[in-house]
Amino acid sequence: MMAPLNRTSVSSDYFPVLTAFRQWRRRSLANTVALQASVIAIGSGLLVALISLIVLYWSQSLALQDQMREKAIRLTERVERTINVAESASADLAKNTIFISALLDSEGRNVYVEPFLKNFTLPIPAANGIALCDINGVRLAGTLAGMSDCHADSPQFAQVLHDGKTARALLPLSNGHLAWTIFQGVAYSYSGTIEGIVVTQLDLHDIFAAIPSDLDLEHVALVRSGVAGDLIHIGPLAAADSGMVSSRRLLFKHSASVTPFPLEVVIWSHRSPMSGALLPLLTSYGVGILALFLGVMIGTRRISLRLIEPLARLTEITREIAATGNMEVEIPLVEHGELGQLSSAFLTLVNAVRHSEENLESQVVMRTRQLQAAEASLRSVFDAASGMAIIAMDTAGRITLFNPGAERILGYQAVDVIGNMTLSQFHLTDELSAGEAMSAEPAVHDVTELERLLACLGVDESSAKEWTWLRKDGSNLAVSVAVTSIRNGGVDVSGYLCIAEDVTDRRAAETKLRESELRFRGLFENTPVAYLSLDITGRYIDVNQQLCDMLGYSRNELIGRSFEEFWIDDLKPVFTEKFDEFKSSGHMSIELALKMKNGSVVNVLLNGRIQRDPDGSFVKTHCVLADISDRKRMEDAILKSKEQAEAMAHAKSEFLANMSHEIRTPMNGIIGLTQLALNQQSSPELRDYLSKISSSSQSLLGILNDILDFSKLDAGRMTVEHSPFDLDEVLDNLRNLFEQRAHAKGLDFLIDVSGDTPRSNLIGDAMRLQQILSNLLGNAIKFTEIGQIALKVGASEFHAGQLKLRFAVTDTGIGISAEEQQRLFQPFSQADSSITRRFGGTGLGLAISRDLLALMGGDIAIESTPGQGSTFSFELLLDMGVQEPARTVRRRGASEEGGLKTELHAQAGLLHGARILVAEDNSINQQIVKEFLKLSGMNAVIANNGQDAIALLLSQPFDAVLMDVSMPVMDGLEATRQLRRQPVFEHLPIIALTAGVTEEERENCLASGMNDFIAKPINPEQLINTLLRWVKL
Amino acid sequence: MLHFKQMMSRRCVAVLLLWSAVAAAAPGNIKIAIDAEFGVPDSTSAQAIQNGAQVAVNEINATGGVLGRNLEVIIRDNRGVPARSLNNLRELAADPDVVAVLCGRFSPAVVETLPEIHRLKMPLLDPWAAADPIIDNSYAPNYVFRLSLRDAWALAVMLRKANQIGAHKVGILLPNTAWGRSSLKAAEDIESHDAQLKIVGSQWYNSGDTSLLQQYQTLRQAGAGALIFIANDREANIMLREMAELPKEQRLPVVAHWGLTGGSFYDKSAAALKKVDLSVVQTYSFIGKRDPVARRVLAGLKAVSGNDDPRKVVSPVGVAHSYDLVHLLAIAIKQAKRTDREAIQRALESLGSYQGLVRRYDQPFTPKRHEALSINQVYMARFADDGAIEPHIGVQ
Repeated sequence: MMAPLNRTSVSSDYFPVLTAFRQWRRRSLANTVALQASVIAIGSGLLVALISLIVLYWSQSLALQDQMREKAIRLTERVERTINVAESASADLAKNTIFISALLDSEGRNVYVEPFLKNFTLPIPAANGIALCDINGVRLAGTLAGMSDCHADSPQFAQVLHDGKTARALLPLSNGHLAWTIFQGVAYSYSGTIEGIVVTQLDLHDIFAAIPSDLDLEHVALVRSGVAGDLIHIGPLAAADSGMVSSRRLLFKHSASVTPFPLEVVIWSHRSPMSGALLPLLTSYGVGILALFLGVMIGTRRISLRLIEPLARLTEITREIAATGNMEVEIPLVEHGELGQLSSAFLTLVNAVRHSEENLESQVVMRTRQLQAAEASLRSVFDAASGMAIIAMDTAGRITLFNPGAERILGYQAVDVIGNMTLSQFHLTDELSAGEAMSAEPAVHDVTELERLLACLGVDESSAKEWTWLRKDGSNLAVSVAVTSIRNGGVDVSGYLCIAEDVTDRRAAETKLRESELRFRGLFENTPVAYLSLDITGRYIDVNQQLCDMLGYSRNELIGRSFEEFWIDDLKPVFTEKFDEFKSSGHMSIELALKMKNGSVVNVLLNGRIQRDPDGSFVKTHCVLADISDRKRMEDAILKSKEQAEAMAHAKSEFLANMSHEIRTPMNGIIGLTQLALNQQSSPELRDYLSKISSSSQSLLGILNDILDFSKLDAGRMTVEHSPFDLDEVLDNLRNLFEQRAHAKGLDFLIDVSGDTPRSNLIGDAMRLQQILSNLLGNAIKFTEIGQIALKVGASEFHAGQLKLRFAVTDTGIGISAEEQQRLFQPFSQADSSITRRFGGTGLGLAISRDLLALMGGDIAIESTPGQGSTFSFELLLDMGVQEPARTVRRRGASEEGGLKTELHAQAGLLHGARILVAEDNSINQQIVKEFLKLSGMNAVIANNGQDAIALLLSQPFDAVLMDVSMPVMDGLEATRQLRRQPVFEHLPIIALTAGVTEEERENCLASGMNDFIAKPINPEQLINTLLRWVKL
Repeated sequence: MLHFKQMMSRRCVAVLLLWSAVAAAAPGNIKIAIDAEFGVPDSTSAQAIQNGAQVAVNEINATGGVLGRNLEVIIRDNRGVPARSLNNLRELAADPDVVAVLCGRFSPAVVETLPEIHRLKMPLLDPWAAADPIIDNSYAPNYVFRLSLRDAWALAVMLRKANQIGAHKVGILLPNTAWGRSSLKAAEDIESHDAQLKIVGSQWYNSGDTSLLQQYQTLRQAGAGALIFIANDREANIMLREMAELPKEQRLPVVAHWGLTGGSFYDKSAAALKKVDLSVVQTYSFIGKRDPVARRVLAGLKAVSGNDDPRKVVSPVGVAHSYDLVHLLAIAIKQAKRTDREAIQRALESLGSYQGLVRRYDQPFTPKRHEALSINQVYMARFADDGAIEPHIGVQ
């Protein structure tokens, strides 16, 4: 208390009132206390006044803030509502399909969108504008107001194109105002991508402008959160004014993504809390505090004077104790208060000092006893450790302890050693100097022998080292030695403890193990099988030389790398799956392709199993690999040659199909002209030649058809028809074809149909059936010299609209041996190759028949006895249509002079005088068709191509058109299509003439609008029949 | 270390300079661009056009290319949107190696870019888009060459088909685009010359509409006996789905323009097609074709698309048209003896006769006629049960 008073003594001279106060205070402790208490009273009064002022101010502020917040919320909501109207209008427009169409179509846009948008305005109290823009920022349509702008340079425009999300920005308008700008993507319905943008703008200034007067505010502003400066401000610029309160609120607080960046609406009001109430409050607080000061000073002084009396007495007693040092002094009895506590504390202190002196002595005795016991137990440990040498040294290296274990191991007695020997005497000198050379620190000359030894042995190292010790009897001993320093209190080294163990037996065992490992490793490395072992993650942990050789890597390059790295890239993705499978199943056998170091690939067969420890968990894998590259190569080669063979076979079929197609056209000329020539008057010799040309060309055509059929069957392109046919018609045709040939050879010919066989309206492929039977009958006649040929037809079953027919062709010919029957159906083979020379033929007939039957669901059976005859039979399951009475077609020989004319003329009948247009570019064919028609009594006009044909048809009437399919200038299909488009030719019969005989070609003809189809070479009877079917005179 | 880096970068620059010098000296490929709707999901037309063009380019390159240079097909995606097509055309025109651009299926994308095509003097070959104004533009010389259908022909054949099935009164449903207007104009022209035919109403839809039922019912209630339907696959799928749900007596026969064959229509409407009688305009089908050109193209398609089954060729008209167009273009380049686009435009107008896949062209284009096909190639087809578009045999 004295120091501060002295410090103020100089200045106090200048203040007489202070000096007087000080003197008054010094007069009594009670004065001091009174003065200080009144100072405290003034402080407390001021503090209370301050706190109450703050509380009052605070509560008033809160009320005002609430009011302001309320206004801020109302204002923000008003702004949000206005913006939301623009937002939803913008979203709706962008989804309108008319807007989507407008992106694609300028004309439609000008009609629909432009007028609509031109006068469009949003129902909001702010200027606004809308623009529809394409991806390049070109404005396609928009409102007339000045705010219809694409703002294509803005980052938001690019962003909407990029991610499709609606973006907003605040962009400056030409009048300096800010526009809330919404970029709304228009998604294209076909791709779902953004292909246009609706840009909607509204003037933010307009929204804020009406507000200050509305809400009784001085000033409103829109600011960017956390950034200084207003974006928009309305009202006198007074943001920094004192005496104004403000409130701010985040715009779109609950949907922050709607704003381009965080925005706040800020409002200011002039009113402030407690304005006017402050001065009266301060005056009353001042008067109150002065009254408190005087009251406290007077009251405190009187109380202090009463308290000082006992204190003075206690001071006296204390001074006496300090002067005498006698603890036994009488302390006056003060029963209560701080003085009572002080006197009893003196007494307690004296007693405590006396007690601690006695305690110290008894603790020394007890500690000594404990140390002796510890020494004894340590000693017994040393003695008991008979398997180990425990040797202690002092810091000079003298041995101070040598336990029975050491005696046993070294052969010395403890008494001889302790104090007389050093540890280095047990070591081999050579070994020590070798160890010294290896130690990291260079030897220094002035180090003691002990230090060298310790450095060599390695003091306080965690692992023991192995050394050779010399026993007393001179023999050597392998020991493991660890040396630790003995520290006094954990700091100073007081000696060293050496613990050594005899390791002779362990060394012997290790040597044996190493030898066995070497033996195994040799075997493992030299085995001809590649071996690898993987850890649980699939990394190599062991490989043998054979594997290294296989992959071209050294052992060190492989160990630790993942097996997966060596799999070829195609297989890598399945590695984890396969390896997991391996680990769970415990074994694996898999063909792999592995990458070698030189980049080539080796195919291997991997067999492996998993080694597990006794509790079943993974230890490692053992896998052996065999190189199967050679086998793989062989497999690939076989596959390749098979593909080549198939491709060649396919090419062959194509070639045959093309060739037979090309041959048909000249064949038409040969056959047609021969038939016409036979119709002319000529010498018998010439007639004979012509007959032979005719039959030869018919045979050639047969061969051609066979080849075509065979190649179709071979290529799998043959199809069979399912259309109604009459069995009688088929049998009549066969009779016409073969009866005469059989009779010419002197054979009987018989067709026998059992009575109950349904004959009409069967569903199937009549042409193919006839072809099969023709082949069988042809063969029968060919191979029979005497006797008869018979075709027997019978129904074996029929029910539920289905019928099973059995056909059998029997001859009395040369017969076929069982062995020959085996080869019979091979293409290009006959029972005996000499037969080809004797009888001719392609050898395809039976193969084709068998394949055709297979397509129809049948198979050929043969019964034959060589020398007696053969029977070829088959069964067909056919659907049945409605039965109609059968009709027969007669035919006469056409190879006699005038025969063809007679026959065709009769056949044509109703067609006499008909006008037929023949569109055909080949002059030979023109001639043939023209003459056939002439012989039949019809008039033919020739057109050289489709265009000519159309021209002729437009200028003259015709009853039908025979239309070649392939012609120059305009082909038959095109001409037909053009004709069919004109109502006048809607019902004109148009019949195709074509060398193409495939289904597709036939379909093309019908598709173009043709009525029917005649194949080349042209059969005159078929020509007339077809015309009869279509021409209505 | 820094020294080493500098040395390396100098070396790299030297190598790059050398490489670019070599690249500039060697004549690059002649590029034929396809600017089409590659990015429209479910659309197959652009890919079909690309396949056809690639088959032709492979054939031409196998025989030594053109003017000693190989041809190369490059593609740009316009999603059927004019603005994208515009950007693509400008980019392509800046590349002197690009000799011509093939467009895609969507007519509006071509109609809207006609001014730019003629400003850039870029030959535009049209293998699909059918709107009449694409060719009937007022530009001279005309840079657009079409080997495809024309709406006027399509509508003629479609209305004849309606007539064949006994529907003399038809209703027509159209997109609100240049294609729709072109089609309606064609239909009305035909109606004015045909006393029997009556168009009882025309209804429009916008790209993006999700239902066409109201328009359909309006036409049906107006007395239409058949629906003349101008649509792409998206709207066709919507219409078929809605029609299939109607009672049987309310399902009119649908005679459709071919836009729906340019996307996955059959896959999505196979079930509805069993209930609705739909026929569609086509110009070419690989089915049943045995001529050498068709066989050669199918073999080429096998290499390009992995398929040579004529029934499985997707959007066959796109393949066939672009195949013939690329061959005609190659002949034009040979004839012009240079890759200058104006010279190629002139050469295209004076080509000689050529046997193509779709037909034989006596003179494919002339200065007055920029259509390589005629109404004679146009016919009605149907979807077979395997999804193949089969020519429909109309004459019994």
